Amino acid sequence: MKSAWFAVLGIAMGLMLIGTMLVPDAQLFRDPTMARIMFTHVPCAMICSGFLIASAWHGFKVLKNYNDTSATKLHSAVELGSLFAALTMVTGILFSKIMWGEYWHGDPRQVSFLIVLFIYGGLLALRAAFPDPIRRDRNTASYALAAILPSIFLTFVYPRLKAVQQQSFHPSNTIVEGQMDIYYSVGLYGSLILLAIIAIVVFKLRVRTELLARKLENHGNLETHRGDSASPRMVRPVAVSPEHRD
Amino acid sequence: MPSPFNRAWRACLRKEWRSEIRNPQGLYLSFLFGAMAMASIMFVTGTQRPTAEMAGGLFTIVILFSALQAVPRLFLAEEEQGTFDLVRQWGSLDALWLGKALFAGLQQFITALVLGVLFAGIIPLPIVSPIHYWLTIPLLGLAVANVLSLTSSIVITAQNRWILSTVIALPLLFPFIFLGISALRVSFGVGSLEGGWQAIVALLMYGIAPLAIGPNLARTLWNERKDPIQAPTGQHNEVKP
Repeated sequence: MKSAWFAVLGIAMGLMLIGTMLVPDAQLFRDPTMARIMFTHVPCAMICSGFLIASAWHGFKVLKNYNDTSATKLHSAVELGSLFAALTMVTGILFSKIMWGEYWHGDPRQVSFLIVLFIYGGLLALRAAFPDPIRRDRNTASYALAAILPSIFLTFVYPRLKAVQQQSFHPSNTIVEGQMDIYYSVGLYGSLILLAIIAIVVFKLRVRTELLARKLENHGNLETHRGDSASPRMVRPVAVSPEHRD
Repeated sequence: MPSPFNRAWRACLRKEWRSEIRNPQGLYLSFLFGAMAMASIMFVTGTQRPTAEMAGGLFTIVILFSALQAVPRLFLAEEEQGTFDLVRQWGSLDALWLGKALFAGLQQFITALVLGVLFAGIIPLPIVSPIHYWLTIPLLGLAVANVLSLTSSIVITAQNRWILSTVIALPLLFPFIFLGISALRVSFGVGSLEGGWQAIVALLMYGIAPLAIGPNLARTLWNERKDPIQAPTGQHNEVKP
């Protein structure tokens, strides 16, 4: 049954891709054919912001009442959010080169999104810095929660400031004010819905595999994670091979 | 009679203050870092007259430089010297965090004021609105100190904690940089006075936010007893027959 759903999702994704290629060129752009990048760029940016909020929410749950499910959801949200942030940045840089003539235009929106990418980088760096899994989860959760206010500023407030809008090449309210024609509106909303569904499906799969991996690691004995070194003040039981147990 | 919480954070603040008086590393470190950053900037700009926005940006960088090593030191050196466990016995962990963060704020407040005097003397721009200048500078110092206290408390047991505390703090400091520049450019005569006041109020409100989150995070993160790995009844150590 699930594989049928995946097949439907794949077909829908393919149809969406073909559909976005068939829409008429956007005449107001420097290179009208390449304006289609926004069908990937805008949804990726929105999904990336969604994962930032999701990581803060799961971070709050980890700190309030630690459990494997919340911790796994936090890490999955961070991983997928980083992926979508990277995709947004890459498509944005390509768009900048094609439309504005330079890969890095120094646009305030580019810079603010780069900082969002750095927040994701900080979350990934924190994950790597703690050998103890529970500390790793809690500290990542703390940073995800602490970063939510700057993230909201960078994503929703900063781009809409008057001074920034005057400097930036990025349109800020095109979608909200309905300035796009019907083909582009349908293409954009369609891409957003499909990519969001795919992101949720991948998120759920990632959570499941991570939970299974954790279950396997803790299966049937007292040992915790043999792969990690213990943190300074901890003494943990270590598994021995069956021939040395007696 | 002060509550145990108030006693604990005051004791922590006193302890930090006395160790600073006895061996003034933090103030020296932060002032020297800031002064060196300022000298480097002056060396690069030479006799060129910077714009108001650029002057605001340069001073924000000076404040950042002055805090980036001095504030994390308050938290990380304690852990590395092995005295953190002893300090933890004093009282609640949130009070301990608050005491250290308040000291970090005080340290950066003093440093920012001294660097502000130097910067006003060096920069070849007239200060048109002194009230904006002298309000923004200490607020910027306080806000940066609060964010660095927050990130230092998160990385206190990490492997590469010194670098990490700075790396994860910088993205969180972006709004402060933006607000600091917005307020400082007004003090140099560019932009509306109203905009400058808005930036100062935002800086104040945004600078206080870490003081609200920090104690709660410290209470959760620094509490070893709540670690499920150490607790025998925890989810992770459940013994299966």
